[in-house]
Amino acid sequence: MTMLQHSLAVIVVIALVFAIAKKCKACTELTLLLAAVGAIIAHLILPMGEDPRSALPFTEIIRHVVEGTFNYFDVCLTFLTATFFMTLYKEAGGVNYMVRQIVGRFYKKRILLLLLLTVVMMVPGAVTGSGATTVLTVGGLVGAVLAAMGVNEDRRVALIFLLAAMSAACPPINLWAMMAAAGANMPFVGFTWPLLILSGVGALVSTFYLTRGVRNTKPVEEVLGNLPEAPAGWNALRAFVPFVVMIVLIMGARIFPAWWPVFGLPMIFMISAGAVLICSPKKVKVMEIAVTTVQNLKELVGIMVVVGILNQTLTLTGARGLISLAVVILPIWLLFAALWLILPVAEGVLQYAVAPLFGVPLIMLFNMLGYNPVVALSCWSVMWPVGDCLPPTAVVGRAAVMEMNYKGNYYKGLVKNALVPMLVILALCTITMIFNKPVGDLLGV
Amino acid sequence: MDKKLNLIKSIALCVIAFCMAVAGYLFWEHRNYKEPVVVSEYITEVKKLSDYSDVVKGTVNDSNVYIFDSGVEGGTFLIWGSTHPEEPAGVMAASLMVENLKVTQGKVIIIDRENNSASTNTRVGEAYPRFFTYETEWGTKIWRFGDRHANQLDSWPDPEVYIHYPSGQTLANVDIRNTNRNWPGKANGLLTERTNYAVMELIRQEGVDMTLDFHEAELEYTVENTIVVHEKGQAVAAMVSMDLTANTFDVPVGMEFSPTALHGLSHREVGDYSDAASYLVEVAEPMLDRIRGITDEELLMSGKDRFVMMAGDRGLLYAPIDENGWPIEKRVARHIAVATKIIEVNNTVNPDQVITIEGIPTYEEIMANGLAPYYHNPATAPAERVYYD
Amino acid sequence: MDILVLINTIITVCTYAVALFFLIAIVRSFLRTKKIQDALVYCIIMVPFILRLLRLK
Repeated sequence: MTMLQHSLAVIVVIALVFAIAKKCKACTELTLLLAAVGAIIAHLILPMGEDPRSALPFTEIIRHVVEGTFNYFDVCLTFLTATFFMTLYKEAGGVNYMVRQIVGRFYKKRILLLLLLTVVMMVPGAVTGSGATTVLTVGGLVGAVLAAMGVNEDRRVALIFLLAAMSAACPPINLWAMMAAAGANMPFVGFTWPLLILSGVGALVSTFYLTRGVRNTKPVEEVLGNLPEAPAGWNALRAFVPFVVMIVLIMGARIFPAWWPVFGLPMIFMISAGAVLICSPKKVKVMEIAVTTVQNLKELVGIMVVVGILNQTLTLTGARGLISLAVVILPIWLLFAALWLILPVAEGVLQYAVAPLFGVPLIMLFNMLGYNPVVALSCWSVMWPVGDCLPPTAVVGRAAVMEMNYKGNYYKGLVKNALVPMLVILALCTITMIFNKPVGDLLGV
Repeated sequence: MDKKLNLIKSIALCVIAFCMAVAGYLFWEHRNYKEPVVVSEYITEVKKLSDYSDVVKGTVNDSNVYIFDSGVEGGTFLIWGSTHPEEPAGVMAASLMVENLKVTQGKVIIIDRENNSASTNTRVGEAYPRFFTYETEWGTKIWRFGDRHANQLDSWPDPEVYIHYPSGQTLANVDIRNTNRNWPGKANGLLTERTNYAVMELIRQEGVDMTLDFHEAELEYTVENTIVVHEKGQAVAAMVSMDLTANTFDVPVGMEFSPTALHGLSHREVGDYSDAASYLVEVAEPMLDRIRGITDEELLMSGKDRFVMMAGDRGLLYAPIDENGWPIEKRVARHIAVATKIIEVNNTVNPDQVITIEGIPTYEEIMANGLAPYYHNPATAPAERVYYD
Repeated sequence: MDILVLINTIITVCTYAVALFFLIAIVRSFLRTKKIQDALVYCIIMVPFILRLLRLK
């Protein structure tokens, strides 16, 4: 058996175990864990190819599995703290207050309101690089305003997902581009305009497509009457302070990089949560909210931890290399034609790990072919987050469902409604990628 | 039902506790393993990095600084390995030099583990082995295999984006723990920034004329089998490249100018912020390729990988590879040859910086004898010559 | 010690405290859940939190 056949067999085993575990009604997290265990067993049993290999003791296998749980540890901590912050804010009545204020002031100015909501959604992801953070921080608030505008539930959840995905792609922080550029030793320079144009167009197309036909005809008072009241004591100052704290902590590092301490996103969200406690006129049970946060994020965090294990296993067994190799040896015309599908699907499986896995070899391939790697990587980095609603991880999609308390069918509701804007975004990126050289010349990158 | 649930919960906890205990011990063992180095009998002093700047005092990155001072006026050459401990040829070449070097004119300073913290932790998701080994006549010599970034146990949390000091260039957040992204360092920054600041202090205080940073690179990467050099060292690097390519190496070693737009790298910032000419040398390491197959120590040391070869057959690589791979002996030998050739050429280009050395094997000798004869047994060596990295 | 280094050190300690805070919340969720699969998922999620707090990884 060659190494290629070995790694291929490991991938087949993963697919088989996944299918069987799903059939047995195991949850996605445990299904992926079982698939990883299956991969390791297959790796140990099957001949490993033509060349000599090192021994793999049982203790080292355990070490690899445990090490895999750390792959996205910081991301998980960010999810937990961001959600904790916003859940505190919501429980304290801050979200209700903000929604009432926005609706009261902008309800009749539909276009302006939609543009404002788009910007509000884009900011958290743009500064953190995480679509899930966008959903978990402002998704509920924007969703509530959309509901007040009369946007139906299916479209609402689809729009929250799409805006979150585009916010993650939006500069200055695009984690996929940064990770791939870092892996290829490319300076993260020149990405601002291509990323901004692609993600901005994607966000606007999503917003106006999914709110088409919605007319803000009801009197403002009637709409406000249907919205929950905010607890007494809330005012603009109290409502804005936690967000001001968050923005100051994030922007401080950019304005005074030499003097600003390194807080990290988890601490930034926890300090902002502390500001909520100080500003809230209503007492909230902190530990209970933390437990609720963990329970709500169980699937999201669980998936990230288990995907980390699967990623480690794929690498150990050569399956990751085979997948990566398969992509770079595709004929270039097929690559151009298939990346719009490959990249989001891979994102659905591996999350941020796709950036080093596909991004780095692709950058090197594009470099070798004389293409513009900045424009090409920008296109891929907008295509990847589109896959965040796809199984098995569907991290941002799940977060949107959870945050919006969406009860409809995930595929017939969220995915179906998001499909047209998703295809527009993917088509836009593919066309830009094909014309990477003239686009690069035009943007001066 | 409750009984059954509690039983399952208890079993799950036991399984998880067992896995954590096993893995936890292995992580602990990796983090605490000390690498013995039998220093050459001609060494003059072993200092700590904190002797040059106390910003790293008491930290894991307060590395050993091995000094070979001839006492005869000449140039000063600083060499370091293990900026990226996932590139083993660097630390192996540096420690081979520390164990065998004799300097008869000028001064040579060597740091085996520039980012020691990064060697105490393997890179998550990459399924790396914890250690790599080399068989010698006296037994097995063991090194820690590591990450590209410092251990989070020594530097946590990361910022949401890394803004390089002093250029202001933005980089991926994890790169704040990558010492080849934060030169020239920052006295009050995070551990890796302080480490590079201390090395810059060493360069200034010792009056270093040249620096050399040992690296390895994936074959898919354009900057491969090459010397990357600051403007100050271009003449020397060009001659080293031509000489070694024409007379010594089977695979050419190139020469590239340090890009001015890419900040934080040693070849750019050390040259810009000190009087030294800065060089960085790369050699092929198939283990770093994302398209590699099964990941284990065998691949790391032999450099043989069928998937990388398939990519090579399709013209997708910047270095040749066949069934002989890129064995560690060849990778270390190339580093050693580049270091000695830089000294030799610099002696003619800058006659006020003459350094003469002995005891270091040639490329041909390493290729013929392997590396084993050049690493010494710490168990039988005099205690005063055994140091731990 | 430089003031910025001191502040960064304090933030590191606080970040460990945040990890501990959420580990407690995970353990509580684990103890409360009545679903077997959920209990297993909580168990797996605990792993990186515990090993980081023990400063093993």
